[in-house]
Amino acid sequence: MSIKIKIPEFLQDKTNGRSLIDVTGNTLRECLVALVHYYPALKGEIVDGQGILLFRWLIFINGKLASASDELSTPVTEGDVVLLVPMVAGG
Amino acid sequence: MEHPTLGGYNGRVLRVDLTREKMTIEQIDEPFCRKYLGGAGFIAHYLLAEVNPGIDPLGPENKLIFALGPLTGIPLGGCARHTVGGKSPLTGGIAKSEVGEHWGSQLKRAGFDALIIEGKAKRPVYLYIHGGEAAIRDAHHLWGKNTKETQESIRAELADSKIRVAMIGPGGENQVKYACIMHGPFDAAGRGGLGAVMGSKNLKALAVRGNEMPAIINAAGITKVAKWLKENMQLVKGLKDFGTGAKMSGFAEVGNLPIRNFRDGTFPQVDKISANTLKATIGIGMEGCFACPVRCKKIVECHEPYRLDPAYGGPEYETLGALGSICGIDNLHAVAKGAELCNAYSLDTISTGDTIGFAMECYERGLLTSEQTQGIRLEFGNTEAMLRMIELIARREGIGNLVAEGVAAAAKQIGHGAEDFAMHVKGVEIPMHEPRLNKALALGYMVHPHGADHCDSLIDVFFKSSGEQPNVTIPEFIPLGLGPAPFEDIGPRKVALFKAFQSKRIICDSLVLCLLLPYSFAQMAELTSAVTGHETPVTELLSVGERIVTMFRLFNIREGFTDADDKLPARCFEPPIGGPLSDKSLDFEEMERAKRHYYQLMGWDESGVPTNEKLDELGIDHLASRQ
Repeated sequence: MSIKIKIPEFLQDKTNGRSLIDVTGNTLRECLVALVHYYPALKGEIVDGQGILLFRWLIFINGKLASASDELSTPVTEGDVVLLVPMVAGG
Repeated sequence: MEHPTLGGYNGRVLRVDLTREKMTIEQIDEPFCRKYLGGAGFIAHYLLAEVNPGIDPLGPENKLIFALGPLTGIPLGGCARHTVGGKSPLTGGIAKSEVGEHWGSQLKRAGFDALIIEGKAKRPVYLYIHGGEAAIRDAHHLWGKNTKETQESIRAELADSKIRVAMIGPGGENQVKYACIMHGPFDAAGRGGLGAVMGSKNLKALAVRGNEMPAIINAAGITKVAKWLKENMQLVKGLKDFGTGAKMSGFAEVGNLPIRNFRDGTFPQVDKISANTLKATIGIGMEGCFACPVRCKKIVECHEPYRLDPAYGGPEYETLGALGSICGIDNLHAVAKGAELCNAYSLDTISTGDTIGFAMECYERGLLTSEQTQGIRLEFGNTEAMLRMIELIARREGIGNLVAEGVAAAAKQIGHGAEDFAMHVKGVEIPMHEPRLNKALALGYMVHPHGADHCDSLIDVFFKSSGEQPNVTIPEFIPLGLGPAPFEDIGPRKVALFKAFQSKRIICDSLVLCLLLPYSFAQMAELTSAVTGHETPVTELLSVGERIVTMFRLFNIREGFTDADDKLPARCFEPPIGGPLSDKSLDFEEMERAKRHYYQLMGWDESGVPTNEKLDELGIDHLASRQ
């Protein structure tokens, strides 16, 4: 499956300035593993060393929240657009 | 305790009767300190024991309490805070609010663990507390002054530039129902209208200076945690670099940022008001509280289009939202100017922004006319209208007098369905995290005795599985038998997580510890043990937390609150217009089920009344007859 991942602006210095990246995978986990493979500087930013999504991220697929208890097991299909959103602003 | 047996405490409470101009010093002993810890715990005890039900919150019978905890003032980041409490003029129930700065650490060094202010002074006064003593001084010449000028005048008068000052500006003097108590010109004990209580007592300020810290039993225990913080500063890097409010676009993208009185779902201009933009434009540096290496307080300066005085700091995330997106305003300079005015006049920025946003919607719906607003075009996005409203609220002039009552009272007076979009719980305006996105947060807004409070709640991402990141909610709750819950869940597992987290925050409010530093339960227990010398396991802290929440509940029940008051406004049960939540709203029945389950976990009955068995278990059975 060919999937597009939108990269938040503050992480784009780790993706050579790219904001939209094509990866392949059948689940969100596979897509993020592929993403980190292409851009190793992202390691530790989105998933930890064991491939677990860091708590602060919400993931949207085509505008819908991936809300399974293990979000990364969510299946993706050809042409899906994945949006990564950090929840870090509060106070 | 003349010679306290617990470290970190002075063992002394200063009681000030402003009516009789009399001051007394009372001793507190080790069992009392262990039972209530300090801060919120002390406030719960004194309000229940000494404030009669049904009194006027703005009358002399109300008490205003400033309470430190055993950790207040120790040389460690996050330990500069204290809690202020009293009966709220905004809700008629309990009010408590925490604040940092240096004031609490100075009061600790001045020889006291708490101040209880009662009665009403015949004329404006301020208190000067130093070296274990206190004096009531004339404040006639300070009345009407803004906070910065008040602090400057007191420091000049007492010839000491290091004196720390808690004070009110004109908002508190005029008893705006959501006036706050400023500690210095940019740190606020913000919520619940405690500044109005201070104004009702003719008390302009409390100036403190001290230099003798009570004994800390095991200083190495503090050093250990300080070392951990130094080695883990990456956990607070965002706060250190930007303060709160960085990358606000993420909040807008997921629907966490409230927009135009919680009516709308999109705010494409969000980046214009984020902390990142602030730093790149008007930011000139960062300040911090006593002994804290994080230094998360923004300082701003500008001359055009508004003159921004750096003495008043800069807007926090809550202020960026309340005076920004809630009012549909994307002009960062205007938002920062609004924050400055609120700090100068001692107005809570969250309630101020929410009430102005509410009034804007009323105006756009025709429920407030131009005649009522004296010609102000009170439309979303009108920066001048927002700034003008802050002036009118602080002085209770014209339309400001109505809005100064808070959204609940204003909506009641306006009528015609305005109550359906008056965004408050128990009278306290809702903070800048969207309850329709975060169900556990929504539950917190519902059930907190002090009303909609973001500090004792948590956005729901923290309850998800968290990866390897240390010291966030889930890893430390696993030993308590609690596991992660899906983001959109509000079933029993999520409710149990919320309850445990609420206890943690109430313990923070009692120790008193900053919520932004990522200390774990275990570290809180370690610190408490090290400072006091009493071995304090996590389970003991949890028990204290439950005790304090239950006492807050009892205070409200005594004032006539019931489970029907644990409710969200009608707007939360319909989706916002557009944006990521356009097909999402809360389900009333689902939230009611969560509320009842929370009651059950707390040992309260179906109606949310603590059972006698629970009071007995918590060691507060003497309060059973007071319900």
